[in-house]
Amino acid sequence: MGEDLVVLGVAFLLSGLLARAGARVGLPTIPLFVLAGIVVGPHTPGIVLFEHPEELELLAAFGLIFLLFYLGVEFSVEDLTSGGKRLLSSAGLYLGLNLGGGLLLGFAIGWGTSEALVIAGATGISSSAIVTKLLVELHRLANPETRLILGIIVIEDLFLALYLAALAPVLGKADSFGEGALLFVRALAFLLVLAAIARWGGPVIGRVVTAKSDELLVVLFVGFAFLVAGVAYQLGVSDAIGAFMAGLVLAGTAVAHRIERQVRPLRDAFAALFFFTFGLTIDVGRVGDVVVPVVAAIAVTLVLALAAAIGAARINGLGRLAAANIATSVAARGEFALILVTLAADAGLDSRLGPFVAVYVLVLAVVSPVLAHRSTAVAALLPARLFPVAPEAGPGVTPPPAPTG
Amino acid sequence: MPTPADPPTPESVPVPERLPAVGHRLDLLDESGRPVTVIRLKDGTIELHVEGTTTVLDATSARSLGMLASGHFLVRPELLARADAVLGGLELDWVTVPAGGPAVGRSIAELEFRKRTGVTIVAILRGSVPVVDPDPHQRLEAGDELVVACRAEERAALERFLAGTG
Repeated sequence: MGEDLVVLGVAFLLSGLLARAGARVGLPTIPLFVLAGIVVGPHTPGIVLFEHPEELELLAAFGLIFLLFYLGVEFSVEDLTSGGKRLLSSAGLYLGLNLGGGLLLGFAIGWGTSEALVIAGATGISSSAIVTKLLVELHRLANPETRLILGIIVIEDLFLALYLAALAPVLGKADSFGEGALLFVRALAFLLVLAAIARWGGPVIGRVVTAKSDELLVVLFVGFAFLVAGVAYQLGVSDAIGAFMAGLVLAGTAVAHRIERQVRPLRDAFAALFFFTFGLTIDVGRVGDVVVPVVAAIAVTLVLALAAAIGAARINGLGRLAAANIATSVAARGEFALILVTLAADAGLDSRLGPFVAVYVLVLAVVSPVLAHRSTAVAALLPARLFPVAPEAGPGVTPPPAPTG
Repeated sequence: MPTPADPPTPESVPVPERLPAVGHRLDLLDESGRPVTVIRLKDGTIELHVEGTTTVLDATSARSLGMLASGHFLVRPELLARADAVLGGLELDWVTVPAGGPAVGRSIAELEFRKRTGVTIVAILRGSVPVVDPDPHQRLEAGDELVVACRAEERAALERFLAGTG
């Protein structure tokens, strides 16, 4: 026990110190938490902090649950509908291109159909944590393209839950077609039941978790999140979807804002451990096997992010700097890729997925911010004739306010 | 205190819009018609964007600015910042007692104010004399501005209570 605590303390401190050093040079935290895990993992020469990463499984699962629960609590239908058709078509374009490209890439890599589906999800969905942090740090929140970027991310968050449900047969170790179909139907039914509770059951659930003191509120909503995540897991639907839907249900209650505020520190601590634990499982010796697929995946992601951004900019009448800003920020990959690959590892899929996604995320989580800082240079590479109507806007320049309503 | 002007029509008041995962955005025009964009992050930080320049105010400064802008100097902002930390989730808020509501002419004690709303009245702003920590026998009048310590979710219930619809 004492030894476990010492080792856990070192794990947190190492992750935190490394991420803090990275933050000084503008790097996001997620890849550095993973890196900390890789460095002291059992497969890496040098200091081995954890001989058996699987012993951390439960604590790491807390991280995954809080990550998705937070997304759910934060979610608002208004965010989906307020952007209108242009936003939906831009996000649809982005998701369609990136998932389609990811799926083709997955099949081209040739590790199997289930693996291809995981690769499609991991390479197709941006990291909302890294993207929002980038926008804040670069003071781009008032930019014309920012609504679009945030809108794309909101839709990606929701899509992730649906995609996890669609992957239920793959991640649930179904042996036959019938079993796979059953898992899929179960996952879908689970989503529908909880969506109905979110829509109509808010007041009842609200009464269950509401407490005047923050202390009791935390105890109650953590209980609710774990319960729903656990039930989802038992049904073979994955705890990740359960946690997201638990958050979504609570998003409709009067205490949603307080929960959002209170869950953030829990998410930050346990998510760091989740990323660290993922790093522990990575065998650096196997990185050599995945170099070619990783390079191909990064190239595909960057090209498709750019293509989707140009399309989205055109749909919304934005210029080429806006397109460069969109492409370089939404290309960041992080927590979703890592969540998917962790679930894939639990399901016993190809073990090369781990190192593949680890290196892919590490590279893109660094490349994307670096490019985002230099988006003016990226914009200069885009042919101006692609943007027929849009005036060239400088960084931070805001157009006249859009009419409200 | 001068009599308040007619409330501005909804169309003329710029309303903040949500920025998903980030906070809120408010688009304004300055006197010469230049666009000014105000972003409020979830941690209370305020960003002011004017013609390509960005000014960032941390949560405490932003709160002071907000108080200054709304003309309420009753509570010193540093006290307010501390109150937030101490009271955990309690916010100081302002509500106006509507004319014709059931609260008009009745005392805080008669209304069983705290018992029925969960909200504490910190002060009453009436005319030029603010009544800080009002006596329970203090009667409320139409147009009184109540400074209350309440939780965000109690705010709507409080308004219904004052309007007699809750």
